[in-house]
Amino acid sequence: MNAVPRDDRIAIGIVLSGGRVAGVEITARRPTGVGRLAQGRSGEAVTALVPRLFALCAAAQGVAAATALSAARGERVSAAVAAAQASAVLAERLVELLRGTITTLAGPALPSWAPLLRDVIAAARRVDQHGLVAADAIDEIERGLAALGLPAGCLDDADACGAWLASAAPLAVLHRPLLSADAAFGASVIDALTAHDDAAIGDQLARRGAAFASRPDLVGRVPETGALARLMTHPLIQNTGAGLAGRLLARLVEVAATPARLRALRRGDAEIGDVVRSIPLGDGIGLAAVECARGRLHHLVALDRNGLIRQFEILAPTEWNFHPQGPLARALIGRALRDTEADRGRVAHLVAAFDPCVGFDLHWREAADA
Amino acid sequence: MCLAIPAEVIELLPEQMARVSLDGVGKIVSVALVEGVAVGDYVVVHVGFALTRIDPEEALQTLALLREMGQISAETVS
Repeated sequence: MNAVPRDDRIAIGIVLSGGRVAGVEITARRPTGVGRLAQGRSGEAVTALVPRLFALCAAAQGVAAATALSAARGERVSAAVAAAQASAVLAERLVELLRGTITTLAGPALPSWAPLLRDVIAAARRVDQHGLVAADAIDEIERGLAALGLPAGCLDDADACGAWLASAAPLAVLHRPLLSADAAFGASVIDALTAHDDAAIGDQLARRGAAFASRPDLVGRVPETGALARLMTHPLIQNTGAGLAGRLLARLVEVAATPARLRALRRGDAEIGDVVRSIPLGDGIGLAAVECARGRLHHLVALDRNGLIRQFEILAPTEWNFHPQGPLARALIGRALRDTEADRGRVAHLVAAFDPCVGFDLHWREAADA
Repeated sequence: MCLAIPAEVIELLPEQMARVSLDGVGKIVSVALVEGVAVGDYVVVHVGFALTRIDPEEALQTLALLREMGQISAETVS
């Protein structure tokens, strides 16, 4: 008996008319069945299986499930557990942002980046007895980031970034062509998904379930989520704008800021509400929002009268960013583009900067081909 | 939303690449990001990259869960 794995990918169709993007068609195959798998199981069983199934962002998924479960039960999470959860999410976010950036941009040179990247990844997974990323591991992450070309402070503002970009730092060299040549490509007004949207999302997930989770919108709004949406007030990002450069830099800004945040969690004086949020909805229903690498991840748990899982929903950040009327589509529609190798490369870089959690394929056609 | 499907390393190839089996289906992926990968190891694969090594027993349990979800179809291959 063999099993044939499904290949979940996003297909992105660029529809051209008169030398401009007239439409963006996005279709995705997405995993189904996790809600069915969870039904009737204990909350503990579901929080154990979710990180296994979604191992790409296992920490975020595990924390989201546990947080939604606690909210559904009306339980308070202790400060120590909340700090460990935030530490795990932030460390995984660093790894995913850094790994995604380097594997996308390094191309055939990846093997030369791999040893340092492996060291940072290993350090980010090293926790102490309290579940916090260990103090010496944070030092090691910081040294690794400096060696990769992301020394502390290099992206604090536009001046620091300018000096960094002109330097020989490996990550600066890797980004220089994109940040100088095509910085504003795909710039659009950012409508960020925030904690203010959580209650409406919880209501929709509870009522519409997977139908909402696979194509979410908030009364016509399809907000953006991810590093750029989180950093709209950062001085460097405000200066750079919301084009390709802003998207790429926002990812690096978050990576560079992570060691300090991990240290603050160890000191016990860190604000974690912007990383993990618990939203009890009453009647045995709980929502969790976790800011992972690709954006705001929501889990909804509803319990039956025996305390077992009655409903379990996951809304992944990729569903917002790659919604057919969502942020990627808005960034592309109306742009002057042609079906050339150069423009295909530009769009591929932009899509990669949105960082879907699955592979993607680009297709181009003229509107008249329809 | 991405499911991470465990894959067994079948053959190590040059340039830090490896042939893996996704429960019977062969694929070539980069193992550059996982230290010391050996034939017989199970790794979690995402878009052409092995991300982490996992315990074989845990991998088999995860594959069973994925089959239960219908994410990998239990088909007899002759």
